[in-house]
Amino acid sequence: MASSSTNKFVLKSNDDVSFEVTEAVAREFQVIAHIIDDDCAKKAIPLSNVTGEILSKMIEYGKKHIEEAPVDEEDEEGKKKLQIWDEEFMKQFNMEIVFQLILASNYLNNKGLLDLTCCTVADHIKDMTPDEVRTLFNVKNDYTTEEEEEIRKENSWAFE
Amino acid sequence: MDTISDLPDEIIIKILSFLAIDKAALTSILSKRWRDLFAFTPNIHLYFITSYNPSNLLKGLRNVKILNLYSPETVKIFGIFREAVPVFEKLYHLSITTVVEGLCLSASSLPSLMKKCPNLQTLVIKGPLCGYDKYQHVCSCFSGCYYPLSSPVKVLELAKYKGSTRELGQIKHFLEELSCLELVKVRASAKDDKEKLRITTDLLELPRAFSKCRIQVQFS
Repeated sequence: MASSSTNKFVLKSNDDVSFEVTEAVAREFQVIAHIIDDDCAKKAIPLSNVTGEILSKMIEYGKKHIEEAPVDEEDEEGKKKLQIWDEEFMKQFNMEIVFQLILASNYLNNKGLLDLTCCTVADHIKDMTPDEVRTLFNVKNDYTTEEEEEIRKENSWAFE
Repeated sequence: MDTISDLPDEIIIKILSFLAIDKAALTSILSKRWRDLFAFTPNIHLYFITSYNPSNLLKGLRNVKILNLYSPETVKIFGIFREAVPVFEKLYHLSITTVVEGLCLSASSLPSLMKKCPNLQTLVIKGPLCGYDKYQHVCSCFSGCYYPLSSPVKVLELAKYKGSTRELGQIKHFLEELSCLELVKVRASAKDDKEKLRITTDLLELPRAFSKCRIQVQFS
């Protein structure tokens, strides 16, 4: 059997873009790892919920995390380097892309990228007003004025 | 951006879990769907509670799975407002700091908090085990505590152990009272090998309520 560094798989996005990746990179995504383990990965693996644009970014992330993986738990320098790379990596995206990355990493089950993208959104909204957050998340305020007042009272420790 | 309104609850909860608890709670005002989402964030770090009356905050935490109380003041709040503390059905990991700079503020709040954690698996005590109270008396810390014998804690971690007789007494008390205990991890500091040997022997010779309970000593 070929080792995971030479074994290749093809991932195919929902807009028909194909990417050839090593088994190690493919296994960064839990869902794909299961497909490989179930021996269903003879040809290209179709990913119906991910566009080529998003998939290419996810593969870039997966590759980096394979190549630059910290040696062990104690490798603080390695962890720090990867963390800095993560931060730079996220800077290139607008919020719409970040949300798409969240959905895709949730779908393909990559915990690291899901945490990173969710953390990016949290950082983005932390100083926003409720109205700004509503706009970003496309939330319709369905409270009556009285209900809204009640919520404010209930969670007054946060609104103080 | 249609995809955004379709974000599943668990993703929104994940996003909120990266915010400080008071910022996360602000999102309850967004809409009915968002009202309670913040309270489902699984891993909550409380540094300081500054609110005059944190009853609603405490109630809002009822679904937490991992709770980290970083300051003795915060632990104390759980004792003072014990009536408002909900039953933490899902909580399995509790981390507390009770002593800072030798001053013990909060260990006496622990028993009432533990009663509210029926499914707790791991208890971590981050700071030193013993300190002095504000009158400069040696605090009775945990040894005066009553723990419900039904507490299901399996793992106890002590982060700063120096090997004094009083600390040893505390651990003895834990071993007697926490009947489900399977593992005690002690991080100790010692100045030489002789002291290491003494600390290890003292700990390993302690009587245990649960005969299979292992004691691990690690020196830093």
